[in-house]
Amino acid sequence: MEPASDQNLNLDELSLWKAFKAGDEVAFAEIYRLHIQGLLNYGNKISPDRQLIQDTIHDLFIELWNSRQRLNDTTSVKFYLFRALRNKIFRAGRPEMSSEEDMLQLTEPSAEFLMMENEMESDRIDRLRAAVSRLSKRQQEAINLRYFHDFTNDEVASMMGLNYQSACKLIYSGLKFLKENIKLLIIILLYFREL
Amino acid sequence: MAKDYSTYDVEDFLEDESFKSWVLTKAGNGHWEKIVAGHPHQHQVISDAAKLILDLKKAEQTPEDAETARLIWNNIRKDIQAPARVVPFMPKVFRIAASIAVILGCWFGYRILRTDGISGKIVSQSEATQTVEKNTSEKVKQIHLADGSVISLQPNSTLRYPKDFNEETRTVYLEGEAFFDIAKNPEKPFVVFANEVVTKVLGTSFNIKAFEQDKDITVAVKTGRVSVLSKNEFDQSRDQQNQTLSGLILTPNQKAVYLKNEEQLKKTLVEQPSLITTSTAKSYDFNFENKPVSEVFDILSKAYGVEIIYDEDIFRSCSLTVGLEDEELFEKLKIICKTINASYQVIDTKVLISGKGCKF
Repeated sequence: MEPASDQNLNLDELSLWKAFKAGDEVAFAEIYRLHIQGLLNYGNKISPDRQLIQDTIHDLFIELWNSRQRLNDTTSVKFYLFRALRNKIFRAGRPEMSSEEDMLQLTEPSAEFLMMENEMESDRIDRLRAAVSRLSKRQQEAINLRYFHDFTNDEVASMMGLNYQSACKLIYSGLKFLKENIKLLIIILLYFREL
Repeated sequence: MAKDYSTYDVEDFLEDESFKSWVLTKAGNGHWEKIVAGHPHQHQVISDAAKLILDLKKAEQTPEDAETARLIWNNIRKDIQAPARVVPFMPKVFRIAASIAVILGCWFGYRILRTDGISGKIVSQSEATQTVEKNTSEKVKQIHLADGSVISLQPNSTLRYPKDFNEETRTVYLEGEAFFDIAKNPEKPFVVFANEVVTKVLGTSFNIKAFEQDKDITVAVKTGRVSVLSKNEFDQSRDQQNQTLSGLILTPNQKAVYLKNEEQLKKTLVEQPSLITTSTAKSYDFNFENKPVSEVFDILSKAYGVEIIYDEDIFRSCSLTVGLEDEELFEKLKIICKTINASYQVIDTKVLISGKGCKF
């Protein structure tokens, strides 16, 4: 699924939202269909509990339907749904980490790990995925929101309950780590080959 | 605040909203192309940043989980119609088990119905208060229903509908072919039974072709949105008061084909897609002068509501000068493809363009 293409549908999206608010069940089903895969991707990113994610998405859409007449017209259905999902999941309880601690908590890849990866000759995307998984949970979430779901820095900040600067710092440090990490792997790859 | 791109690092480019947007969608009317051209020593940095943006998209991708999506939706449907009765603290596992029991119950019910000698045709409840309209003439017959809907019945076709619609739905039965122009009523969905296909709408226009002797049944949408399922799926999913259905959702210019022997519903495009009129009522200009082919495809895509897929890199060098006002969509595509030495293919509801590009 390509989330980026949603940007072109703003007019359709608004009329779909309005139709749903008026009680159009087909429009409601379509809203679900448009966003479910993104919600599953994001949900599974912020919580390892698959059942919890599924139940929360279910509850979210029920509440959405039941309160449809009271809803405002939103400029981004996607942002609205994602934020609602996040709030519900974190209300259900997640160990709170101090945000400062979190941002500095980067695990340095061990040399052995790097050599093993090199030997397996995994391709560029797998290496990147592995590097992303070594970021802190919040960096991973911020990067997922920004670079996969295409939210702006403002939206990421709002969604994660951070101020704009903190969100930028979070993303920046994550990207820096990824950049360095991949470079490191490539250098070792080259080094080994020359032996 | 002037930006000094010559000292930008990879992360700085990555952070830039418009850079990211440009890498992903090529939008921005040449702004970034100029910057790239004006900073040749930053080429490597820019290329690394672009690559990372594209790679992150791929790395974060997870496979689509249609099964889970469907499971969640089934539960949503049930709870929308029967809210207050949900037993508190009932774990979702039991709810799923209960719905399986309901599915089995309905399936058995349908099997019994099937073997009662009416050869799989759907039998209506109270035939006494039904009107049967049969078109034995050679011309199309117009039928006006009580709610303002108009049905154009083709020759050799039959429409059965109740004298008064009931409180919950407006249900009619079709044998043959008809064009439906349905009055909008969100409170009362309009349901058409045509052999093994159920079409449910809230106000829109579409064509259904369901002749007994044909190998397949088709539903083609002109305006609005329509949800189509096979009778099997309809029975499996239907509860007492359940009005919300999923199935295949069709948008204008799409059609669903039900293959009887395979019992499968497939989505594709209609033969002659028509221009979509939206509330913004923009009239489309199909006279192109030196227009990059990516923009042409974009305009066509929006005008007809059809997704067009092509490799941007390959066709980047192609541009068109041509006037295409009068042709219908596939004629337009044929002409465009001929000009840029490409070919098109319709796969499901999308158009795929393949070719080698335009070398100078």
